[in-house]
Amino acid sequence: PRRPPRNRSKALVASLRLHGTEEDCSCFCTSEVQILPVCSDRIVLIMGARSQLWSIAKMSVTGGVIGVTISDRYVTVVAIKGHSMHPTMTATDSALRGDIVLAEKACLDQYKFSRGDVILFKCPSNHKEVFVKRLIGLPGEWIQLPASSEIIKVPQGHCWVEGDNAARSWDSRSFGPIPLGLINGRVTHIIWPPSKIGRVERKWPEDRIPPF
Amino acid sequence: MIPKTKGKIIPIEPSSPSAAAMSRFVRRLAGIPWRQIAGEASSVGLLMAQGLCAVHVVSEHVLGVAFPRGPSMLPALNMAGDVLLTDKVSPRRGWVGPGDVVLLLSPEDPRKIVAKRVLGMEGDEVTYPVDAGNSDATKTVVVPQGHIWVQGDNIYSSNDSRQFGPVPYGLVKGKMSYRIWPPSRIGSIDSKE
Repeated sequence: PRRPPRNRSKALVASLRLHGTEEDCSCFCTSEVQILPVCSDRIVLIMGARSQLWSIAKMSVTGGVIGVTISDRYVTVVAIKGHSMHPTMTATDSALRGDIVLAEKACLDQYKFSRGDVILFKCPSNHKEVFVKRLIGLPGEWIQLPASSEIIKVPQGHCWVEGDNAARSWDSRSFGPIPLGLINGRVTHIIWPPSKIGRVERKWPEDRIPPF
Repeated sequence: MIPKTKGKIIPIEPSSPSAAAMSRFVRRLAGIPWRQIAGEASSVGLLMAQGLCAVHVVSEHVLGVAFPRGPSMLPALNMAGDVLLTDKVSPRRGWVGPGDVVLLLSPEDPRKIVAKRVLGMEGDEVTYPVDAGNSDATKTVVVPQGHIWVQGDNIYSSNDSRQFGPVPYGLVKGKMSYRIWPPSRIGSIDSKE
């Protein structure tokens, strides 16, 4: 094969760099590929791979930003660890087989909750941990502590939370009422395992006197 | 003008000026490139949505802006008109310590955001005046685990941990150290000028 003239291959390289998209490279090169064999093939490969990586990077950054926004403001997915909400939600030691739930964030706009909602909140003694419990007392209500016959009032801006599985739940009976500002979201549905898919209903524990 | 013929109404052909104008209008409507406009509008809308999401991510997780009002942090912060840069990365990583001015959700009303100075972290002993202005009595508490003690610089006019007790660290939303408005006070909040 005859060698291509030097100035022609330089012009090809220069115009390939200018275009930068995969389509432009390939349609520019197909007409020239017979004349400039090896040199142009390598350039097409490099330009194509680099622009593809760039578009993958752009798409993943955009997807990540949109995903973070949706997860912060509208709905998020959480895996349950711990046994304090059994049998409503169960967990096993490996996160893959524990329950996975959907939590909505729209309630954080006005902090309006109802008695019996299941909520996610940051642990008051360790801000890195997130707990899931049921809301038993709203601000200003009087709560009867289950063990003793004490009655306490939930302060303004706070709430009283308890787990469904009273025996294995570390909740307001130990750390007291929590500020509403610690709440991260309200659990609305269970989406895994398939046998438990469905809404998480607002429920009042049977053995407690409802406040009024 | 409809010609009368024994009670029956005969439709007239579209030769009158108004009907011709009507059919011209319909033809022009069909000529507008609706699909192209819809395509451009949806791509502009998508771009705007991406922009809004980017703004949300940055202002919630990296760097935000705050406009504190009220007398509780005088003289470090003015009563109104200050614009402060809020660092959102530090609280999440635990880089908050005594002396920092932080933004936190009020434990009395989660819809209110308050700015106060951190006086003690978990385990610290904090001594505070119980009734500033009226008596010199002080009290000492130990801050429980996972909590912080916050107080306004202006102890005579501040609703803080002296009233609502130590607050959980999870309520802290941002740390403020730089003021960007008014121009005469641009710089660190605690600069000695």
